[in-house]
Amino acid sequence: MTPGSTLWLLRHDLQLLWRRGKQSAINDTLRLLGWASLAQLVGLGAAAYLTSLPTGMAGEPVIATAALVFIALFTLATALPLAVETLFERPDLEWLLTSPLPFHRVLAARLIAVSLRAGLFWLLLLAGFANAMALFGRPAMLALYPVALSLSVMASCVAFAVVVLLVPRIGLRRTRAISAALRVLLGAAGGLMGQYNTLFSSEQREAVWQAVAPACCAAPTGLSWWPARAALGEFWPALTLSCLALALAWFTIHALHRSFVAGAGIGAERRPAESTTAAGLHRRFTGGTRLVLLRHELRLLRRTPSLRRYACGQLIYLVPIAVALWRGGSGILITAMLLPVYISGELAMLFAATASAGDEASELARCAPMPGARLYWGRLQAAAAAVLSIVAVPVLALAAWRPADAPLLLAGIASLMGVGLMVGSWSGLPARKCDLGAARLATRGLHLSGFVINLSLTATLWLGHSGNIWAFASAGVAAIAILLTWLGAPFRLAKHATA
Amino acid sequence: MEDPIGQAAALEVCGLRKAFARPAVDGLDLVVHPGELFALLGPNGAGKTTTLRMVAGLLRPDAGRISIFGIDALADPAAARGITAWLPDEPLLYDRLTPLEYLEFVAGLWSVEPALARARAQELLEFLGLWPHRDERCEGFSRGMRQKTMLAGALLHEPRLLILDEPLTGLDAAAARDVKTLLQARVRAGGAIILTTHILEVAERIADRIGIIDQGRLRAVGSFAELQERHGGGSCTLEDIFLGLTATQPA
Repeated sequence: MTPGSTLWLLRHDLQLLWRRGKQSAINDTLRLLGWASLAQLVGLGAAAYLTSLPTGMAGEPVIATAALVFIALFTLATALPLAVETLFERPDLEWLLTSPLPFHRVLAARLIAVSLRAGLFWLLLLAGFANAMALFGRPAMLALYPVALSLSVMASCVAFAVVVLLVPRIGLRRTRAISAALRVLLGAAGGLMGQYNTLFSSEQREAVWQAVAPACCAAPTGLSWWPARAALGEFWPALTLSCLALALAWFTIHALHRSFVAGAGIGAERRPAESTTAAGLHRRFTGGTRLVLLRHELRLLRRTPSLRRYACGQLIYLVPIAVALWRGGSGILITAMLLPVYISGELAMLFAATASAGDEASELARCAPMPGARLYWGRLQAAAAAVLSIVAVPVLALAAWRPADAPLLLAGIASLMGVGLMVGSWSGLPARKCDLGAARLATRGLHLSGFVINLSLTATLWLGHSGNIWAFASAGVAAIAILLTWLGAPFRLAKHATA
Repeated sequence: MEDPIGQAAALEVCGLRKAFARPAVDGLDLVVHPGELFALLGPNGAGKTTTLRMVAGLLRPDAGRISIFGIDALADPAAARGITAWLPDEPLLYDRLTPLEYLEFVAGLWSVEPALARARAQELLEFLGLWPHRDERCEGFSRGMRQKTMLAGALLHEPRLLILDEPLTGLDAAAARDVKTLLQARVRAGGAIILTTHILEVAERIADRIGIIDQGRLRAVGSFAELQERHGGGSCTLEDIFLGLTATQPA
């Protein structure tokens, strides 16, 4: 591979995008093979089910279009933060821009790398499905390979355009915030598409079907059906989609490379902020130590895009439940009650872990004459306050709507939040407030134990509410998971201390 | 230990030891007096930062005693921390806070009275040229600006002992002069400063006394004139003395 070539740059970029932890290349490959095998199994299952259905399904193009929109939304949501990171946050940016390499080559390598990284999940999943369909007698479905790649490239082009055009105008920080917000919105849109049956009544679904079915089933020849036809294995639509993706990539690279360089130059520049006036200054430095500590921690939690994104992502789950309740679906009342309880536990754990282990300037607090316990409790209080401020509205709305069930709801939230705060503060993980996403591997253990603990505790409440004896078993699982997390805590703390 | 005028030493270190894979600090004895700027010099890995981190309470020594203005820092670390400030060599700030918010947090940690904290914050930020940037987040600051923000934080609660690890690294000439002026004013006000630096001219010009440490042991200590007298002669520079003392020690 010639040094300086696009392929050489691509290898460099893929290494940086793929290697998020301290894992070796062999581990990386094994991980990829593991995921590919799993995707193949899922694909086999899905293909077996679909081929067992009566042939000639009238709605195939509609389903394929919906699936492609769903995938495109999620790929774009993934590509946006990756584009910000890859284009403007890498330490190698200035080194590359001051090298004799043409800028468009750098941009091309990064676009391909982001496309592969953003679309990897769907590529694996669709590849598994396409392979299985080919095995079951529909080799044309192998067209899903170029379709998935094309979708990923096009989504990455859009992400690059948004980021490259925004940074010179509004600065890196605001672009990062906007891309995080867009990611949440796109992810939410994709998530809500998956809740189609919950969100719409059968009459509304029938109306939608009547609107699209004639165009789709009678003669799906319109341009809007081409992506679906490509996904279903038609040669010319698949080729057209691939060419369109390549053309868009070429255009993006050549149209944006000057803006990219301009943005790279000013990306780190500070924009003048509104200055504190004398009155504003007077409002600062008020309150006792506890209040200052609480304010400080809440400020840091609030200003962490990854936490904001995570919290919004959790709250999105409440939307279909709220819609179903609004439509009079009292059958899902217990789900509506338990979801905020579960979310409170999840958020409490993550916020507590971030507040207690994610101090960017930890030596400052360690040098202060404040007792460590006060600092610890202050951080937990901030995490609790942040969680309560997020779940307050849905919880109060539910409590007001069903006052009889309010004690169960509040007791559930109090207990899951308590456990979440406790377990989160044990984590000792090297999570950083400024970018929790980068510490994803490090927080994986926390997410896993948090998931098991929160799920089993929520199940305990659910089963206990209906008087089911299995509530004890669920409580036992939660207790064991908490114990194991506690036993693992000193190990992780020691590991962190020596890091 | 008391100094000649009967006041407790600002910092007294006796028989300090700390070993990691090998001894980093090996039986160090050191005294810094109130109103004195003490520069601790040494080659890389000599044990300077380890010594300062133990004094700041960030590392527990394996053996030895640390006393800060008469307070046993190992027995009563909270009291000792209340009158000291630590400035690390790497300016680790909260990127998502503004300088004012950072100082607000520092004031809270050290329980500084609000009106005093407000006035001190404004005074320090103005002196260090950071007042126009008071509401900008630190994430875009240069190293020098970050260093100055941290220094403002270190001085906010008017510590009696300042512990500074390479405070002038990465600063431009004007910023370095501001910082030196601030440190000298602190010393004139009766505070004590112990700092490490690789810039020997700085030590030569602003330090009242200089200690040269190598392989965890103090090789020489005294004013520049005293070091010249003992280790070279009137014409030799601090660089000559430093290299002479650190190059000839057995490994």
